[in-house]
Amino acid sequence: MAFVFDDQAVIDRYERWQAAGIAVNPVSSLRYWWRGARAATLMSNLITLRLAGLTPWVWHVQNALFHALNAALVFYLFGFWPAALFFAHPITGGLSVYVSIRADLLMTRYALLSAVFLCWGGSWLLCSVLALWMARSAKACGVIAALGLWLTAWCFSGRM
Amino acid sequence: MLGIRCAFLPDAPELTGFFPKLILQSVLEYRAYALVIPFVVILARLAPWELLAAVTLAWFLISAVRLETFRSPLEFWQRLWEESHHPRIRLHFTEELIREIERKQKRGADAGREIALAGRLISETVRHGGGLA
Repeated sequence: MAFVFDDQAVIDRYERWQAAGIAVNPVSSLRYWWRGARAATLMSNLITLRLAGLTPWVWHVQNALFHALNAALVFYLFGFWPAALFFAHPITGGLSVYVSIRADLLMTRYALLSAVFLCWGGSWLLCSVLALWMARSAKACGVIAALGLWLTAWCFSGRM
Repeated sequence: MLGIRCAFLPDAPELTGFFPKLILQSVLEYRAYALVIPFVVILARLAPWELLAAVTLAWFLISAVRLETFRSPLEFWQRLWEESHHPRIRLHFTEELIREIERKQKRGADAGREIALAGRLISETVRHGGGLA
């Protein structure tokens, strides 16, 4: 619970349901997910918490690695200079100090993966939909981010 | 993307208006991480490579400076407290802050500044609910 941050769906709604004795059935779970639960982010935080505890540098290094992975995906889709600019930008590069940015890091990773799978086409389209679902599970605006990246890839990526 | 914020908050008229803000602050509020990608893709199309190289180097240096944020666990917990919005989560981070002060005192170091900070954070947390109600 320590790394939930501003995930209002978990903090407020879910706990309120529990306190009121409301059983969490598939329908209410779906509603809870749709209203903004971040299952993928929560899972990532839990894994790091189990493996490394609350050691600050581990969280920072992991965020930096996630950012590097995102830059690698940008490199694959758009080439060297966009990836270099994205990696070095003060907004993105400085964000590894911001622990709760992990939701955005994961959301962007899955949105980029979704665009990559879309480029590959064929049976990879199913993986693209799955990655879109994961982006949504990382953060509520993941679907919009993925659609934006699809559009960017369609306009500017030679792989699409 | 330029770090300028426009806010319209009917419940808080004092916060409504046009606020020029630092880039990072703006992003922390609006989480524009993914939006940087279309921005840099278009920039890479428009600018010559010499300019891109200079911009990349300058941005990289600024980013490297920004990474030097937490010199101690105490600063880390304070930052988490500032990042979190929910009073109960804030209370948890305040507790971690107190544990860190206790560790520091056990080592025989002076923790006067940290105690004052923890006092302020506890006071603010409790004033805004603190999950104690």
